Amino acid sequence: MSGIYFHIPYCRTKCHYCDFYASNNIKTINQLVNAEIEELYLRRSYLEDEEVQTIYFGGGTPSVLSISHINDLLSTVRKNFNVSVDCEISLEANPEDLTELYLKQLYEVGINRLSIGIQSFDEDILVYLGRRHGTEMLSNMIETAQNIGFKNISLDLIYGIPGLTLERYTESIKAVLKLGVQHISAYALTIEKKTYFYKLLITNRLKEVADEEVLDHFNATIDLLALNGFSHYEVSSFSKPGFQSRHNSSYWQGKNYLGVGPAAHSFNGKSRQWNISSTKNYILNIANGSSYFEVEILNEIDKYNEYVLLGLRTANGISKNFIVDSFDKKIVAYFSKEISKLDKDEFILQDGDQICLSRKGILMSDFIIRKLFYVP
Amino acid sequence: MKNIRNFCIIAHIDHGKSTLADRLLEVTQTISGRDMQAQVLDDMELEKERGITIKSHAIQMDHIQDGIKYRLNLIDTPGHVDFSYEVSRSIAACEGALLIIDATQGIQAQTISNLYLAIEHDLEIIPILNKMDLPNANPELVEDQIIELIGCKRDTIIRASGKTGEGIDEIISRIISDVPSPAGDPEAPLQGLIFDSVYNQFRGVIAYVKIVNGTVRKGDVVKFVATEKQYNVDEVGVLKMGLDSRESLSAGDVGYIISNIKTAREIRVGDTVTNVKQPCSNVISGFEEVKPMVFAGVYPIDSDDYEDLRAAMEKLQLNDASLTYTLESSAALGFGFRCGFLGLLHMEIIQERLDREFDMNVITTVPNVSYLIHTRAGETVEVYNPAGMPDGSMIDLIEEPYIRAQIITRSEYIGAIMTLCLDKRGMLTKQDYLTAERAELTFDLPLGEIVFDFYDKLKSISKGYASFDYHITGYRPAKLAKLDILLNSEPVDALSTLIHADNAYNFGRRMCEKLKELIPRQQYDVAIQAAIGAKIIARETIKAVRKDVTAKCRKLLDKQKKGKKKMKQIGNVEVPQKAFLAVLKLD
Ligand SMILES: Nc1nc2c(ncn2[C@@H]2O[C@H](COP(=O)(O)OP(=O)(O)OP(=O)(O)O)[C@@H](O)[C@H]2O)c(=O)[nH]1
Ligand code: SF4
Ligand SMILES: [Mg+2]
Repeated sequence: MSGIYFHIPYCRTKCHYCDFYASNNIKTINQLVNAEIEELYLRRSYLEDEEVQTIYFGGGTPSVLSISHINDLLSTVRKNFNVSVDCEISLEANPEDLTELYLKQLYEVGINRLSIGIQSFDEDILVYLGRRHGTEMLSNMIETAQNIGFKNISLDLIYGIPGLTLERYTESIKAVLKLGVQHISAYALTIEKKTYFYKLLITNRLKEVADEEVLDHFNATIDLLALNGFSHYEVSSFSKPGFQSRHNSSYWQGKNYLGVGPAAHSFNGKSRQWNISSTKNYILNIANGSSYFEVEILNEIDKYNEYVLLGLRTANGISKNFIVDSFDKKIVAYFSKEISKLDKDEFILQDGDQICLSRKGILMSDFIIRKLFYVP
Repeated sequence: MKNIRNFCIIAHIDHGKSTLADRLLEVTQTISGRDMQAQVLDDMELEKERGITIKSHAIQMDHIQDGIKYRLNLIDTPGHVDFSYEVSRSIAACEGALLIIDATQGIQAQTISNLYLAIEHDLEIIPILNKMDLPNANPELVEDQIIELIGCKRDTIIRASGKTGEGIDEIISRIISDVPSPAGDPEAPLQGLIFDSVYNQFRGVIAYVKIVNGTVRKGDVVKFVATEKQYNVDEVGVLKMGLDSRESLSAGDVGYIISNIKTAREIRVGDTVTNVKQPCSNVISGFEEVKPMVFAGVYPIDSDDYEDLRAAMEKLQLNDASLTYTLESSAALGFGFRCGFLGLLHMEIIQERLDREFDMNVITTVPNVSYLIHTRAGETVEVYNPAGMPDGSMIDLIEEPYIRAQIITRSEYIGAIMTLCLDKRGMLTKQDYLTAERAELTFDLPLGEIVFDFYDKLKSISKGYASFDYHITGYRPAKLAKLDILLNSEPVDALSTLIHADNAYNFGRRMCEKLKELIPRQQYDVAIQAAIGAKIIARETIKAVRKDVTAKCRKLLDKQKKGKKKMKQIGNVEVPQKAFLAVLKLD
């Protein structure tokens, strides 16, 4: 089984915390969709006729696409790839784009999973984050979507926001839980360079939330969601049974996927391919037939590093035996040495063959992955 | 030979040498309009980026005047103090010098020091007022200064502009009429001075040579006197925009020799080359050994790259004879080199060149000057690094190097400059007014105080209107302390400094503060301590991180692609490269 990812690098405005923002002029969207259709066609053999079980529109803000854009992309996929009947087709959306009409049309063209970036369910915080929707509008919209027939909805939430007390944060989670969604992604706010928040930070107009407080929010999230039947299956993902994001899971299970669009990456077991990140050049190069990607053939070390990076982020973690069986002695020795240090610091849990992150380790996952990375 | 003119262009930094060279190259059609760009001789990427000449650059121009064809060999030189060794080597290959003076700035410190170098070698000096196109040019006043300095006649000073081309034709006629053609006998035994060299990946060592006597031809067997090695000459030629091969080079010529020299160690700048069959009887007096001013450890980021670093240093030294190095090892950083530099800019340039030309990413440790240690046992040792300092109980007396500094500035900045120099333990020894508004101040200063940020400070307090030149005068007793830095109680030898005892407390505190800024938070608390001997004099703590996570897997893959940060692991503390230079960033 395999997946297809579409990158849609447009945003209507830039959110205060976001360094993923795509500053492309939305007027080029027709050209982009045409280029992506062309890329799909060019790479129709990439997945070697494997069954496509997930399709994902990510961004930026894919909900800036018109229905006919989405329809064109999906029908090109259907024509050129072996799409399974119960294929999970997700779209990341901004709440304000999800009008009743648009929702209906999305449902009709085959979108069956929505990943909605609500970010918070607290009026003040929404304003603070630079979002353009309120909580009442959110509940109405989600209800509408459910009435139309969407049975798999995911909401994004951010915690560790300056000014967001633990109390108000738990209130907002409780409110979210009432909406009856199947999946929640919860992220700790990180203040990244090139964002408005970063500017506030370096000009002393914003104070970063202390790590301890973030930790409290994180623990509250896990506990509250667990209480309501959500399992914590990846660093920032929680789901009701049977509603794990199949698309994202295929990344960390090392399944093949085809990434279409600027900056998208693809993987076919042997190599990882990175499309050029400039949208302008991507469109241009596709149009005039010049190269629009680089390929990185994964050597053994890369494969080890990726296995650790992708596996450790999930609740299933990584398998010691698999590492011992698959990789060179040097790598295994390095791995064992680092694991025992991480174990001593209680960053990981070991259960037989399985190694996964401890609660304390989850919020330090980048650090832990860096430690385990083998760099000759 | 009587139609050859060898000359260099010398001046204070930024007075417009390279720009004037552009105009000369243009007028003589050495370079076509299409290939022309500003400061075309500054061909190193680093020179272009910084707008500063680092290496001398020789180039041959042809010019016809009154029906006679002349061969003009030009050498453009750097103006910055740190590169004055380049100037002195260029001067040895010339009979004349264009002394450029910026008409808006007047005589500056390196105008004087470079002029003296040229006079010592009996070069014919042609004074040129440059930047005449600028509205604030002040030709009469600056001419007065020049006349006072070199005792020439007013009408021998050429007014010119590297921007508009004013005066360029006159400069060329004057080079032809005033600069003597080289002396020497093309029939005599070969005697050539190696004044520079460069390593080329494909051709091996290319030696730049000024033929003083005799002739060298392709196919000759030559010998380098100092190294006593013999080689077959594969190619000789002259220096145009690139190498331009010829059948031979004769007395008076400036050019290059390629003779299948494979390693940098086989050749020495300043050496004499001669013919094996008919050797010359005496060698040309070479160059004075350069005396490095500043020392620092240079280590590969990855200890396994030590051998590569050694090879890179050898090749770099070939092209920069002022770089010196010896083997050194550090507990924190492994094997590396203690390098001697002519100044901080030189150090920075070497680090950059290692990175760009040899792909060697290095860590440079805190720089220091050298000290003379007199032990109780009656010995005297020279110490180049903090680790080499003998135990305090064995030391009788420490001496540190002193310089005499000449600073030329406008009178309104004298007060601020005095304060700065006194703050750096300086002593004013002389104050001369050159004109009512310009003064020359002479200070005796410990070299150790000026190697860090003195030059930057001087520039900022004088708004750029102060020029500075110095030379070593000798050693004087010093009250010195060795300041150690400990990370989680482990001393990090690469962060130790030798410092005047009175400044140690203040310095230690600021070091700790700066390191706290520069070392990223880790998964443990990190204690940073400054110590003198066993005594802790300052302390800071970097609080542990408890959150280090990327929200989305997709983003993490992107991050990973950008590569892991280059960090050196010390004990359990990750120390970034820039932290080793923290000391330079103290304000
Ligand atoms: N207006 C004007 N500017 C000039 C003239 N000559 C040089 N400049 C400018 O002065 C600056 C320094 O010029 P360079 O030719 O690089 O000076 P330099 O003496 O070679 O400098 P170093 O080699 O680093 O010592 C540049 O910005 C030039 O554009 C001139 O005749 N007129
Ligand atoms: S959070 Fe999403 S919508 Fe907002 S700027 Fe970032 S990518 Fe665009
Ligand atoms: Mg120059």
